[in-house]
Amino acid sequence: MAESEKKDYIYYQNLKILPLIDTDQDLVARCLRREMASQQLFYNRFAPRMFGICLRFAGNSADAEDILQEGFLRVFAKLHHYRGEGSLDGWIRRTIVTTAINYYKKQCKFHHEVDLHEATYHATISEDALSMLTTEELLGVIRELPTEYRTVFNLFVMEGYSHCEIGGMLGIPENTSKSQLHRAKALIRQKLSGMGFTDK
Amino acid sequence: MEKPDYIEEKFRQSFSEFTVAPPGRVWDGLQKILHPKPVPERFWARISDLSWFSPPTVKRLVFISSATVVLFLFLVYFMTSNNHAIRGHAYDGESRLCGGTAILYRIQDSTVPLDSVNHYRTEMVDDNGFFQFPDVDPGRYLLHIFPQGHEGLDENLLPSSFDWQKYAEQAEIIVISTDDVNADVHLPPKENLLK
Repeated sequence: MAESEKKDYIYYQNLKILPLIDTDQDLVARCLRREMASQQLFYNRFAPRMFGICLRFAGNSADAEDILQEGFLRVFAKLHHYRGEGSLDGWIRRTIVTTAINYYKKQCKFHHEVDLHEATYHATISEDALSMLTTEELLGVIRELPTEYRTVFNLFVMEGYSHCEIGGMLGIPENTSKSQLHRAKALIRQKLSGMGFTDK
Repeated sequence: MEKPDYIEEKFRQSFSEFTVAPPGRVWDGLQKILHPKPVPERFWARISDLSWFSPPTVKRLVFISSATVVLFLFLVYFMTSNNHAIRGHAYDGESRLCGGTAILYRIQDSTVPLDSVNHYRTEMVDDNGFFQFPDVDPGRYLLHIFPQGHEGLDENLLPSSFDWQKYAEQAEIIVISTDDVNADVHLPPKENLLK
Protein backbone atom coordinates (compact mmCIF):
# COMPACT_ATOMS: atom_id res chain seq x y z
CA MET A 1 0.00 0.00 0.00
CA ALA A 2 1.32 3.44 -0.90
CA GLU A 3 2.42 5.74 1.89
CA SER A 4 -0.12 8.41 0.91
CA GLU A 5 -2.97 5.88 1.10
CA LYS A 6 -1.96 4.83 4.60
CA LYS A 7 -2.46 8.39 5.80
CA ASP A 8 -6.10 8.26 4.74
CA TYR A 9 -6.98 5.77 7.43
CA ILE A 10 -8.64 7.01 10.55
CA TYR A 11 -8.12 5.15 13.77
CA TYR A 12 -11.02 5.16 16.17
CA GLN A 13 -10.69 3.14 19.40
CA ASN A 14 -8.08 0.93 17.72
CA LEU A 15 -10.38 0.27 14.77
CA LYS A 16 -9.01 1.11 11.36
CA ILE A 17 -11.58 2.90 9.24
CA LEU A 18 -11.11 3.66 5.57
CA PRO A 19 -13.62 6.25 4.47
CA LEU A 20 -14.92 5.84 0.94
CA ILE A 21 -13.48 9.04 -0.40
CA ASP A 22 -12.04 8.95 -3.88
CA THR A 23 -11.32 12.50 -4.90
CA ASP A 24 -10.49 15.86 -3.35
CA GLN A 25 -13.88 17.06 -4.52
CA ASP A 26 -15.56 14.24 -2.61
CA LEU A 27 -13.53 15.06 0.48
CA VAL A 28 -14.45 18.73 0.20
CA ALA A 29 -18.14 17.84 -0.15
CA ARG A 30 -17.99 15.74 2.99
CA CYS A 31 -16.17 18.48 4.90
CA LEU A 32 -18.82 20.95 3.82
CA ARG A 33 -21.34 18.66 5.52
CA ARG A 34 -19.24 19.16 8.67
CA GLU A 35 -18.47 15.46 9.02
CA MET A 36 -15.82 15.32 11.70
CA ALA A 37 -14.15 12.18 10.32
CA SER A 38 -13.81 13.79 6.90
CA GLN A 39 -12.45 16.98 8.38
CA GLN A 40 -9.87 14.93 10.24
CA LEU A 41 -8.98 13.08 7.05
CA PHE A 42 -8.67 16.41 5.23
CA TYR A 43 -6.46 17.76 8.00
CA ASN A 44 -4.30 14.62 8.14
CA ARG A 45 -3.79 14.78 4.39
CA PHE A 46 -2.77 18.42 4.11
CA ALA A 47 -1.53 19.53 7.54
CA PRO A 48 2.05 18.16 7.37
CA ARG A 49 2.80 20.05 4.17
CA MET A 50 1.11 23.21 5.44
CA PHE A 51 2.90 22.99 8.77
CA GLY A 52 6.19 23.01 6.82
CA ILE A 53 5.09 26.30 5.24
CA CYS A 54 4.02 27.70 8.60
CA LEU A 55 7.41 26.82 10.09
CA ARG A 56 9.12 28.81 7.33
CA PHE A 57 6.94 31.86 7.88
CA ALA A 58 6.95 31.72 11.68
CA GLY A 59 9.71 32.80 14.00
CA ASN A 60 9.10 29.84 16.30
CA SER A 61 7.14 26.60 16.52
CA ALA A 62 4.42 28.02 18.75
CA ASP A 63 3.64 30.73 16.19
CA ALA A 64 3.69 28.10 13.45
CA GLU A 65 1.11 26.03 15.33
CA ASP A 66 -1.07 29.10 15.80
CA ILE A 67 -0.85 29.96 12.11
CA LEU A 68 -1.66 26.38 11.13
CA GLN A 69 -4.70 26.25 13.38
CA GLU A 70 -5.92 29.66 12.30
CA GLY A 71 -5.24 28.76 8.68
CA PHE A 72 -7.22 25.54 8.81
CA LEU A 73 -10.10 27.30 10.52
CA ARG A 74 -10.09 29.72 7.61
CA VAL A 75 -9.85 26.85 5.14
CA PHE A 76 -12.87 25.07 6.64
CA ALA A 77 -14.80 28.32 6.84
CA LYS A 78 -14.15 29.21 3.20
CA LEU A 79 -14.17 25.74 1.73
CA HIS A 80 -17.38 26.48 -0.16
CA HIS A 81 -15.37 28.99 -2.24
CA TYR A 82 -13.27 26.16 -3.66
CA ARG A 83 -14.83 25.31 -7.03
CA GLY A 84 -12.57 22.44 -7.93
CA GLU A 85 -10.66 24.53 -10.43
CA GLY A 86 -6.95 24.08 -9.77
CA SER A 87 -5.42 21.88 -7.14
CA LEU A 88 -6.89 21.77 -3.66
CA ASP A 89 -3.36 21.72 -2.28
CA GLY A 90 -2.58 25.03 -4.01
CA TRP A 91 -5.80 26.61 -2.76
CA ILE A 92 -5.09 25.57 0.83
CA ARG A 93 -1.49 26.71 0.49
CA ARG A 94 -2.59 30.21 -0.58
CA THR A 95 -4.99 30.39 2.36
CA ILE A 96 -2.27 29.35 4.79
CA VAL A 97 0.18 31.88 3.35
CA THR A 98 -2.45 34.62 3.63
CA THR A 99 -3.07 33.61 7.23
CA ALA A 100 0.65 33.74 7.97
CA ILE A 101 0.91 37.21 6.45
CA ASN A 102 -2.09 38.46 8.42
CA TYR A 103 -0.67 36.91 11.59
CA TYR A 104 2.51 38.97 11.31
CA LYS A 105 0.79 42.04 9.90
CA LYS A 106 -0.86 42.41 13.29
CA GLN A 107 2.53 42.40 14.98
CA CYS A 108 4.84 44.41 12.74
CA LYS A 109 4.88 46.85 9.89
CA PHE A 110 6.48 45.99 6.62
CA HIS A 111 7.40 49.56 5.72
CA HIS A 112 11.02 49.36 6.68
CA GLU A 113 12.92 51.11 3.85
CA VAL A 114 16.48 49.92 3.33
CA ASP A 115 19.14 51.38 1.10
CA LEU A 116 20.11 48.65 -1.36
CA HIS A 117 23.79 49.27 -0.87
CA GLU A 118 23.55 49.35 2.89
CA ALA A 119 22.47 45.73 3.00
CA THR A 120 25.04 44.25 0.72
CA TYR A 121 27.16 41.51 2.17
CA HIS A 122 30.05 40.53 -0.04
CA ALA A 123 31.11 37.14 1.25
CA THR A 124 30.88 34.40 -1.36
CA ILE A 125 29.21 31.26 -0.21
CA SER A 126 30.62 27.99 -1.43
CA GLU A 127 28.03 26.15 -3.54
CA ASP A 128 29.47 22.75 -2.59
CA ALA A 129 29.43 23.54 1.09
CA LEU A 130 25.89 24.86 0.75
CA SER A 131 24.71 21.57 -0.71
CA MET A 132 25.75 19.87 2.54
CA LEU A 133 23.23 21.89 4.54
CA THR A 134 20.13 20.05 5.73
CA THR A 135 16.62 21.44 5.47
CA GLU A 136 16.47 21.83 9.25
CA GLU A 137 19.65 23.96 9.20
CA LEU A 138 18.25 26.11 6.39
CA LEU A 139 15.01 26.46 8.36
CA GLY A 140 17.05 27.67 11.32
CA VAL A 141 18.68 30.31 9.10
CA ILE A 142 15.33 31.54 7.76
CA ARG A 143 13.79 31.71 11.20
CA GLU A 144 16.58 33.93 12.46
CA LEU A 145 15.68 36.58 9.88
CA PRO A 146 13.62 39.57 10.99
CA THR A 147 9.93 39.03 10.30
CA GLU A 148 9.71 41.48 7.37
CA TYR A 149 12.68 39.97 5.57
CA ARG A 150 11.61 36.42 6.29
CA THR A 151 8.13 37.09 4.91
CA VAL A 152 9.35 38.70 1.70
CA PHE A 153 11.99 35.99 1.23
CA ASN A 154 9.38 33.27 1.66
CA LEU A 155 6.91 34.91 -0.69
CA PHE A 156 9.43 35.62 -3.42
CA VAL A 157 11.77 32.65 -3.25
CA MET A 158 9.54 29.84 -1.98
CA GLU A 159 6.06 30.84 -3.10
CA GLY A 160 7.08 32.44 -6.40
CA TYR A 161 5.23 35.74 -6.05
CA SER A 162 6.52 38.80 -7.89
CA HIS A 163 7.60 41.96 -6.06
CA CYS A 164 4.50 43.67 -7.41
CA GLU A 165 2.26 40.96 -5.92
CA ILE A 166 4.18 40.97 -2.64
CA GLY A 167 3.80 44.74 -2.43
CA GLY A 168 0.05 44.32 -2.82
CA MET A 169 -0.14 41.53 -0.24
CA LEU A 170 1.92 43.30 2.40
CA GLY A 171 0.79 46.82 1.59
CA ILE A 172 4.27 48.06 0.78
CA PRO A 173 5.84 49.64 -2.32
CA GLU A 174 7.42 47.28 -4.82
CA ASN A 175 10.86 48.75 -4.16
CA THR A 176 10.52 48.07 -0.46
CA SER A 177 9.84 44.43 -1.28
CA LYS A 178 12.95 44.36 -3.44
CA SER A 179 15.10 45.97 -0.81
CA GLN A 180 13.82 43.65 1.90
CA LEU A 181 14.55 40.61 -0.25
CA HIS A 182 18.03 41.97 -0.93
CA ARG A 183 18.66 42.50 2.73
CA ALA A 184 17.22 39.08 3.61
CA LYS A 185 19.63 37.41 1.21
CA ALA A 186 22.53 39.46 2.53
CA LEU A 187 21.67 38.37 6.06
CA ILE A 188 21.41 34.76 4.94
CA ARG A 189 24.87 35.00 3.35
CA GLN A 190 26.16 36.55 6.52
CA LYS A 191 24.71 33.77 8.63
CA LEU A 192 25.96 31.04 6.31
CA SER A 193 29.37 32.70 6.32
CA GLY A 194 29.26 32.63 10.09
CA MET A 195 28.55 28.91 9.88
CA GLY A 196 31.74 28.45 7.81
CA PHE A 197 30.28 28.07 4.32
CA THR A 198 32.42 30.77 2.64
CA ASP A 199 34.73 30.08 -0.26
CA LYS A 200 38.28 29.52 0.93
CA MET B 1 19.64 36.38 -18.87
CA GLU B 2 20.35 36.68 -15.18
CA LYS B 3 22.00 33.63 -13.65
CA PRO B 4 19.77 32.07 -10.95
CA ASP B 5 20.95 32.63 -7.44
CA TYR B 6 22.20 29.25 -6.19
CA ILE B 7 21.29 30.10 -2.60
CA GLU B 8 17.68 30.69 -3.68
CA GLU B 9 17.79 27.45 -5.64
CA LYS B 10 19.08 25.57 -2.64
CA PHE B 11 16.25 26.91 -0.49
CA ARG B 12 13.63 26.12 -3.14
CA GLN B 13 14.86 22.57 -3.59
CA SER B 14 15.17 21.88 0.12
CA PHE B 15 11.69 23.12 0.96
CA SER B 16 9.81 21.89 -2.11
CA GLU B 17 8.78 18.66 -0.41
CA PHE B 18 9.24 19.82 3.17
CA THR B 19 6.62 18.28 5.44
CA VAL B 20 6.44 18.15 9.21
CA ALA B 21 3.73 16.41 11.18
CA PRO B 22 2.11 19.03 13.39
CA PRO B 23 1.65 18.22 17.09
CA GLY B 24 -1.65 16.57 18.00
CA ARG B 25 -2.72 19.56 20.08
CA VAL B 26 -3.27 21.59 16.89
CA TRP B 27 -5.97 19.20 15.69
CA ASP B 28 -7.37 18.93 19.21
CA GLY B 29 -7.73 22.71 19.38
CA LEU B 30 -9.18 22.84 15.89
CA GLN B 31 -11.67 20.11 16.68
CA LYS B 32 -12.85 21.94 19.80
CA ILE B 33 -13.54 25.06 17.73
CA LEU B 34 -15.14 23.22 14.81
CA HIS B 35 -17.26 20.94 16.98
CA PRO B 36 -17.70 22.58 20.38
CA LYS B 37 -19.36 20.47 23.04
CA PRO B 38 -22.87 21.69 23.80
CA VAL B 39 -22.86 23.75 26.97
CA PRO B 40 -25.73 23.07 29.38
CA GLU B 41 -28.24 25.85 29.10
CA ARG B 42 -27.81 28.32 31.89
CA PHE B 43 -30.61 29.39 34.15
CA TRP B 44 -30.34 32.94 32.91
CA ALA B 45 -30.56 31.83 29.27
CA ARG B 46 -33.77 29.98 30.03
CA ILE B 47 -35.27 33.01 31.76
CA SER B 48 -34.27 35.41 29.01
CA ASP B 49 -35.81 33.16 26.35
CA LEU B 50 -39.27 33.82 27.71
CA SER B 51 -41.30 35.40 24.96
CA TRP B 52 -42.96 38.00 27.14
CA PHE B 53 -39.66 39.79 27.63
CA SER B 54 -38.32 41.37 24.52
CA PRO B 55 -35.02 43.20 24.16
CA PRO B 56 -32.31 41.47 26.24
CA THR B 57 -31.52 44.56 28.30
CA VAL B 58 -35.19 44.94 29.28
CA LYS B 59 -35.39 41.27 30.13
CA ARG B 60 -32.42 41.56 32.44
CA LEU B 61 -33.63 44.76 34.02
CA VAL B 62 -37.07 43.33 34.75
CA PHE B 63 -35.63 40.11 36.14
CA ILE B 64 -33.06 41.80 38.36
CA SER B 65 -35.51 44.40 39.70
CA SER B 66 -38.14 41.73 40.42
CA ALA B 67 -35.62 39.59 42.24
CA THR B 68 -34.45 42.61 44.24
CA VAL B 69 -37.99 43.54 45.30
CA VAL B 70 -38.79 39.97 46.37
CA LEU B 71 -35.55 39.74 48.34
CA PHE B 72 -36.21 43.09 49.98
CA LEU B 73 -39.73 42.05 51.03
CA PHE B 74 -38.40 38.82 52.53
CA LEU B 75 -35.79 40.74 54.50
CA VAL B 76 -38.34 43.28 55.72
CA TYR B 77 -40.70 40.51 56.80
CA PHE B 78 -38.09 38.61 58.76
CA MET B 79 -36.51 41.70 60.29
CA THR B 80 -39.79 43.21 61.48
CA SER B 81 -41.56 40.06 62.59
CA ASN B 82 -41.72 39.76 66.43
CA ASN B 83 -43.55 36.46 66.40
CA HIS B 84 -42.03 33.62 68.35
CA ALA B 85 -42.80 30.08 69.34
CA ILE B 86 -43.96 28.53 72.56
CA ARG B 87 -42.83 24.96 72.92
CA GLY B 88 -42.25 22.45 75.64
CA HIS B 89 -43.09 19.05 77.07
CA ALA B 90 -46.01 18.03 79.17
CA TYR B 91 -45.19 15.74 82.09
CA ASP B 92 -47.22 13.29 84.03
CA GLY B 93 -45.53 14.06 87.31
CA GLU B 94 -41.89 13.51 86.39
CA SER B 95 -42.29 11.37 83.24
CA ARG B 96 -43.49 12.63 79.89
CA LEU B 97 -47.12 12.65 78.98
CA CYS B 98 -48.25 10.37 76.15
CA GLY B 99 -50.52 12.62 74.16
CA GLY B 100 -53.06 15.30 74.88
CA THR B 101 -54.18 18.73 73.87
CA ALA B 102 -52.46 22.02 74.54
CA ILE B 103 -54.59 25.16 74.49
CA LEU B 104 -53.20 28.66 74.45
CA TYR B 105 -55.26 31.55 75.80
CA ARG B 106 -54.42 35.15 75.16
CA ILE B 107 -54.81 37.59 78.03
CA GLN B 108 -56.55 40.69 76.74
CA ASP B 109 -55.69 42.95 79.64
CA SER B 110 -53.89 42.80 82.92
CA THR B 111 -56.95 42.31 85.13
CA VAL B 112 -56.85 39.57 87.69
CA PRO B 113 -58.68 37.20 88.00
CA LEU B 114 -58.00 36.24 84.43
CA ASP B 115 -61.53 36.13 83.13
CA SER B 116 -60.74 38.16 80.08
CA VAL B 117 -58.71 35.44 78.33
CA ASN B 118 -59.58 34.45 74.76
CA HIS B 119 -58.83 31.19 73.10
CA TYR B 120 -55.83 31.76 70.84
CA ARG B 121 -54.85 28.39 69.41
CA THR B 122 -55.00 24.64 70.05
CA GLU B 123 -52.19 22.17 69.29
CA MET B 124 -51.76 18.46 69.84
CA VAL B 125 -49.36 17.07 72.42
CA ASP B 126 -47.54 14.19 70.71
CA ASP B 127 -46.64 10.76 72.12
CA ASN B 128 -43.40 12.17 73.51
CA GLY B 129 -45.29 14.85 75.39
CA PHE B 130 -44.04 17.54 73.04
CA PHE B 131 -46.14 20.46 71.93
CA GLN B 132 -45.42 23.61 70.00
CA PHE B 133 -47.21 26.82 69.05
CA PRO B 134 -45.24 28.39 66.22
CA ASP B 135 -45.46 32.03 65.16
CA VAL B 136 -47.20 33.37 68.23
CA ASP B 137 -47.92 37.11 68.31
CA PRO B 138 -46.29 39.18 71.04
CA GLY B 139 -48.43 39.30 74.17
CA ARG B 140 -49.34 37.51 77.39
CA TYR B 141 -50.67 33.95 77.39
CA LEU B 142 -51.89 31.15 79.54
CA LEU B 143 -51.22 27.56 78.63
CA HIS B 144 -53.62 24.76 79.44
CA ILE B 145 -52.91 21.04 78.98
CA PHE B 146 -55.60 18.36 78.78
CA PRO B 147 -54.31 14.81 78.97
CA GLN B 148 -56.10 12.55 76.50
CA GLY B 149 -55.92 9.37 74.56
CA HIS B 150 -54.62 6.99 77.19
CA GLU B 151 -56.73 4.85 79.37
CA GLY B 152 -56.86 6.03 82.91
CA LEU B 153 -54.59 8.94 82.35
CA ASP B 154 -57.27 11.58 82.27
CA GLU B 155 -58.68 10.18 85.49
CA ASN B 156 -55.44 10.41 87.39
CA LEU B 157 -54.32 13.76 86.14
CA LEU B 158 -56.13 17.03 86.15
CA PRO B 159 -55.98 19.52 83.34
CA SER B 160 -53.38 21.99 84.29
CA SER B 161 -52.32 25.51 83.57
CA PHE B 162 -48.69 26.33 83.12
CA ASP B 163 -46.56 24.29 85.51
CA TRP B 164 -48.21 22.39 88.33
CA GLN B 165 -51.14 24.74 88.66
CA LYS B 166 -54.70 23.61 88.33
CA TYR B 167 -56.28 27.03 88.37
CA ALA B 168 -55.69 29.78 85.88
CA GLU B 169 -55.38 32.38 88.62
CA GLN B 170 -52.34 30.57 89.96
CA ALA B 171 -50.76 29.86 86.61
CA GLU B 172 -47.60 31.48 85.42
CA ILE B 173 -48.19 33.90 82.58
CA ILE B 174 -46.20 33.35 79.44
CA VAL B 175 -44.95 36.56 77.88
CA ILE B 176 -43.94 36.62 74.24
CA SER B 177 -41.72 39.57 73.37
CA THR B 178 -38.25 38.96 71.98
CA ASP B 179 -37.53 35.24 72.25
CA ASP B 180 -39.09 31.82 71.95
CA VAL B 181 -40.42 30.42 75.21
CA ASN B 182 -39.85 26.98 76.62
CA ALA B 183 -42.87 26.05 78.69
CA ASP B 184 -42.73 22.63 80.29
CA VAL B 185 -45.96 21.67 82.00
CA HIS B 186 -46.10 19.25 84.92
CA LEU B 187 -49.63 18.00 85.40
CA PRO B 188 -50.62 17.62 89.02
CA PRO B 189 -52.07 14.21 89.94
CA LYS B 190 -55.70 14.49 90.86
CA GLU B 191 -55.34 13.06 94.34
CA ASN B 192 -52.69 15.59 95.29
CA LEU B 193 -54.92 18.42 94.33
CA LEU B 194 -57.86 17.03 96.19
CA LYS B 195 -56.00 17.07 99.41
